[in-house]
Amino acid sequence: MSQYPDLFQEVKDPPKNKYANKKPPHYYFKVSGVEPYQGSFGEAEAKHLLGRCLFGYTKAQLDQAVADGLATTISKLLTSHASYTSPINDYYDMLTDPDVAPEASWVNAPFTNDPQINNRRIRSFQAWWLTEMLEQPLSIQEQLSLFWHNHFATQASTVNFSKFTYETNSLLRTNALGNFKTLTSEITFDPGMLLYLNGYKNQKFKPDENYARELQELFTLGKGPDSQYTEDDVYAAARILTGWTFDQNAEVVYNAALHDTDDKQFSAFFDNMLIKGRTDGSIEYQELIDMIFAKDEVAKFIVRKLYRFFVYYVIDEEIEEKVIVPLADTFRNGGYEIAPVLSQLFQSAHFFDPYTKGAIIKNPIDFLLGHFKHINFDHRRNSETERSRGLYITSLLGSLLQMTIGDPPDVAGWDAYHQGPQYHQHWINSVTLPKRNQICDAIMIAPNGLRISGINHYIDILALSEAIPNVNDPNALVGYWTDLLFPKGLSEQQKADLKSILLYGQTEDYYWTVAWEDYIADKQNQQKQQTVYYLLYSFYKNLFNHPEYQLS
Amino acid sequence: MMKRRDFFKTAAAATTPVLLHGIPVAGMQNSKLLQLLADEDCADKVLVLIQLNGGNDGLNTIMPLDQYDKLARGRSNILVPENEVLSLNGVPDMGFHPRMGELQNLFNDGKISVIQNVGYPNQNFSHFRSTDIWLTASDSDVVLDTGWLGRALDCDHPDFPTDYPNAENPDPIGVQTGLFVSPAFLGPNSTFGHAIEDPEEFYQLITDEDNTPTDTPYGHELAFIRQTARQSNAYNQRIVEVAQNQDNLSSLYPTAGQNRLADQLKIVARMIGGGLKTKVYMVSLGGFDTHASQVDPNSTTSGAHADLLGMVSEAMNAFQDDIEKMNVSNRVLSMTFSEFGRRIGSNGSQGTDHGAAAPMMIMSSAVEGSIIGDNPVLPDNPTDRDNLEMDIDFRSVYATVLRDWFCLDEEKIKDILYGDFDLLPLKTTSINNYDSALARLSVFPNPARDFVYIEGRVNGNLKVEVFGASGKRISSQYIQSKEPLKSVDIRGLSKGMYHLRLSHNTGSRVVKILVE
Repeated sequence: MSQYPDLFQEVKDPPKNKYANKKPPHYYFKVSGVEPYQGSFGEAEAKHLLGRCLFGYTKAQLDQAVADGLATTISKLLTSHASYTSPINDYYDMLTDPDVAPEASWVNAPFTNDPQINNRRIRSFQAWWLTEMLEQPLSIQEQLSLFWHNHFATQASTVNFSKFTYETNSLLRTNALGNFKTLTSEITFDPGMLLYLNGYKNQKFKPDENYARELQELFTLGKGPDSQYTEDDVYAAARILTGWTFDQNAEVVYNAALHDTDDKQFSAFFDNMLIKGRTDGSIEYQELIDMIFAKDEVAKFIVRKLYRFFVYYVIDEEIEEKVIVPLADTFRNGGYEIAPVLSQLFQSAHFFDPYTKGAIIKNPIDFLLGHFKHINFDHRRNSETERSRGLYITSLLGSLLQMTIGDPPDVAGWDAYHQGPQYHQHWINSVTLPKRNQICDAIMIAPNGLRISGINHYIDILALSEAIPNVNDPNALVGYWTDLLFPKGLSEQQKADLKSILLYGQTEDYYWTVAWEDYIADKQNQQKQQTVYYLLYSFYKNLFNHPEYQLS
Repeated sequence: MMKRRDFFKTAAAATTPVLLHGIPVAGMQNSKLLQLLADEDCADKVLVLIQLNGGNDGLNTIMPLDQYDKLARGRSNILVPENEVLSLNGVPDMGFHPRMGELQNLFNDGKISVIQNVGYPNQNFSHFRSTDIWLTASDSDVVLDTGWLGRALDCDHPDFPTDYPNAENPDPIGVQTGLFVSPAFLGPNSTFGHAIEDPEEFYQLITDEDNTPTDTPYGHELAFIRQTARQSNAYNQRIVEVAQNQDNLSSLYPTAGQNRLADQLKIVARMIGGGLKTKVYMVSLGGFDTHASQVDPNSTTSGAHADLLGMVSEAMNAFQDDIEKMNVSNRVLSMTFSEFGRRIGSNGSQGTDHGAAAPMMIMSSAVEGSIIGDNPVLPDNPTDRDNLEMDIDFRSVYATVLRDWFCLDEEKIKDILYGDFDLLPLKTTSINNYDSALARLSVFPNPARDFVYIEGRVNGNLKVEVFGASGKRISSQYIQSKEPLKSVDIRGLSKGMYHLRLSHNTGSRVVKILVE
């Protein structure tokens, strides 16, 4: 039992408004803080935790988490792991890569500026990342890598050098559960970032402010009311960052001749700090990072972003005080180590408050990959090339839904994570909602399914159903799916409506039982197969199209 | 008969008698005919907003040729050669970027107005904040959670989305092309924006409901998704019908996929022509954040920014051609905007950093082309830290469009924009009146001293507003006189150029006056 009564019991006469009000929901009961959660950890809690930390989960993962309990599950979730695979040359029959054999990894190949090869490699990079997400063990690493990709956003289509894009991603995933200050220090001179925000063109006399601005506005301090850096601070930081550029081999180098060696004066917000000009810009840079990270606002800004990504987007005064401030203290006092903050958050009473459940609208990648897992979609193919190309299609599906992995819309990342007041609601509109449903529909129509570039994505819904315990009982079939898919299940009426699809308008359960058992007894019989296929297709179409399926 | 618009009722009631030379002038509350005329005029007007995301370099778009030498000192590595700048009829001190040939022709045809040096006080240099400021119409240091269009549309649709769509409002109130609905459409209850990507596609969504309370995060998000599903079903079906009613008629659109803006405007034209009753459309083009490599190293007339301006010019021209061929262009006003301009001086990366004021463009068959405001004043030796000062607040542009295009009453506009912003002398003409009594009025003498005289007869009140050269409104008065000769007192004005805006129930007209 949760330590709080169920939300719906607590409110005697809950308001029932057919229309979503834009105003943030008001909470009818106490909002917990970060004190440790004392309640039980059953399937509902495990679903909530895994739903937020993974890209979908299987029934087996859910059962394992319940068996392990909360503490063990969190410690597993906060363990990083090495990548399974590496992006490969999956383009050989269309384009010859002089440096990389077919199906070989290209990540250690020499730098190339051939646009066609880079374009192909970026596609295989996107496929590779989705593979890692699909193959992930019980670890938050892939979700966190996406979080950092959204935070330290670079666009593969702008950077346009596959090697840089892969290296930026490696830096983010290696440090995903590491230290935020270290990650910030390193991302500044990451080749992809240096290129993306023009740091390599930033030189004395004519500084380019692009990176210096985003370092403060988007990466560390934010634009909240307590972040009072000035335009002169942006300019002074830009001058400190002069001198880093690329050499002939596209390696990042520091050229002292391009560095502004005058002193840099910062504003009262930074306690009028004066950073002495030096020939060695890296010392100035370290002082700049130290100066920024000395501000309390940094930890709060990052914790708010984590909260919006993993819990919910509304941060009111109460949540700021009870959740953001204490977590930010943990973050700051721990020297900006990431894992302890997440550990505290995921073990907090707040995280398991009833109202946080089902509050997140899944982003497109979460929706797609989660769906693939729920329906046991097998992305493996006859060859690595086919597998990689197949997953590139998945990344195109993400683009259709407004989220291209590796290529956020701009340096601020996806709107859903920074653009208020709608935040996550940005993912859902009259174009994307039908598309999410169409993808779920199409993938069930064998043998073509989603057919793009000669590769078919489909599942066999007969085989999928056969693996479900007691599938011949329509109540068991409905119950299996509604428990697995929906954060708060479905109402009795909704379940009855779903069952009526399986009963084809009849009222007795045996209609389905007989149809299914007839099919199992004589699987080759076209007519019996058709009957069951039609009922199941209609059932699954309706099931996956439920608005509740968009929530986690 | 058309339902009278709520804001117009307020408009009439708010018109109080004014004193002109000490003689009280009656209000217009009782003029039923006037109200009906205004209803017909404003009800079916459409606004198309063209957002240029990233901060468009205004100085590379519309160039102040009187200060070309200063530009040459501040931004030599990106500056277009003076002889390649496109000249504009009757405007020697201003020119368009060489890739804007179509817009040059539209300007010379009198269909483009330029509003100079638009911005806001205390410029914010963050894309994200500045975009929000433009979309929500807030002060620089104020965060609002509704958009300016949302607040304006809320005047007529205060209950939206409850029981929408309905018989009177079968269509989306606002439309956004693409996948992202702009915060500008956010009203007090919900967004007025409906996303369209492919107007020929329809998919039936599940819209079942249960008793989930909406005042919890889960219930709140679920209600939002269900509402999106309901509206999508209803509106998308209408959009498919409308698309069947109307094909694009212009041959000037580039092949699909070549020009992202043209692809969007093509859909908008089809929706307007096909009879969708949507009031506001929003389209956008990204890529204007040209910190580096804004121009080709070998040629300042080509490169990233030139390509973008070429797309804007091509797309707007094809759209205008299309809606003219569909005979709906008199109902449409298109307007460009961007979150800020860029620095006067370029940086070392052959680009420009985030700046401040920039020009906006308005395109319409129903607005007589003009230039509002003066050329920007540049420092003698501009650097990459120098910004253009704003002369005209962007909310003045919004206020003017709301009043002169959508006929909202000035008091209401103050509520929508959270302040009283100067109105601009936009030369809107109403649908059938270009040859009206208003056009036949003669205004003299010019240059003038002490009084300006207006000769000719008009029925009802004539409103006379005086604007300074920078676009600021100095005075506003109603004249009701059956005498053919009316006088306007200008004794308080210092010497210089002014605009007189004469408006009447049939439209408006702007006259330039030199005061001696």
